Amino acid sequence: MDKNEMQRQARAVIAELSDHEASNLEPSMDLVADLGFDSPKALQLLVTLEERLDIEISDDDAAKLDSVGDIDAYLAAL
Amino acid sequence: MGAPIVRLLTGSLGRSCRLDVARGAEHFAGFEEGGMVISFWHDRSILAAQVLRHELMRRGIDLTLLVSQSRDGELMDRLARGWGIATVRGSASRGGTSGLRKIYRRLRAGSSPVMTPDGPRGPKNVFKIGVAVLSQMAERPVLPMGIAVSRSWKLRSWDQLLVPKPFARVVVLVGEPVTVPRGLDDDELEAMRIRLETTLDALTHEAERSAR
Repeated sequence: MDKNEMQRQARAVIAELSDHEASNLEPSMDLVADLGFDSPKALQLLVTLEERLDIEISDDDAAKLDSVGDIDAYLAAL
Repeated sequence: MGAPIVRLLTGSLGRSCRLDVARGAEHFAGFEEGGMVISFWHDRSILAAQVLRHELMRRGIDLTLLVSQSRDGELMDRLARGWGIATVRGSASRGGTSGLRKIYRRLRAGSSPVMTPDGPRGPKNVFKIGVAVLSQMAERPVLPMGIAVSRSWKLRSWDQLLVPKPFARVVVLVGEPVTVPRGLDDDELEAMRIRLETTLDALTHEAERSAR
């Protein structure tokens, strides 16, 4: 899976869990403040990303994922 | 509450109590297939210590306790590790992504997290969604336990923590394991949360009637 496809799938997961349209997601959107991710939602997000993208996200990396753009950048750097 | 008092409550005082798993012990067989999310209300924590040590650990079940990052949590952390129970510091609800994720990993690896779904600060007897999501994502069931005691003191804490009186009878009713399926929308997940809350309430009330 290439990086663009990974980012596209990640946005689909974010959209699904936050009840937003994927096309309306902006890199600047904060997962908590703008998209309403609390701890249980964040667990759903991280586990779903790991399963769908076949990756493992460390706790240190997960702690830095505050926005949609952070997730884009994280996946681009893999 | 200081460490010596907690040790007294869970140690010699606890040992004087008679433990009666009145129903559902057959559900412990589910641990042979992997971890389960052991759940009881927070006010039953001291009573539950007897169940964990004398029923589950005796059967060789690997347990993990999620303890808060407060001073009380520090005490629980030391106490649990002293008994041989692994601990994870954090919360399943507030700012607790890391704690919840560590518990998730332990559960996936076969350990059984011990959770008080209304903890660490209430509201009392409200089953928070984090425990349901943990079960859902790990694809392992919630094991609800209703626990009651024949004679007890109530502390003036938010949960009115029950402290067993010497030689009291502790009654445990183990409910059927509840699976939280993947792919639920928010409304369906909320319905599952309510079902878990109702189940835990019913088991606890029934245990109270049995303990009288």
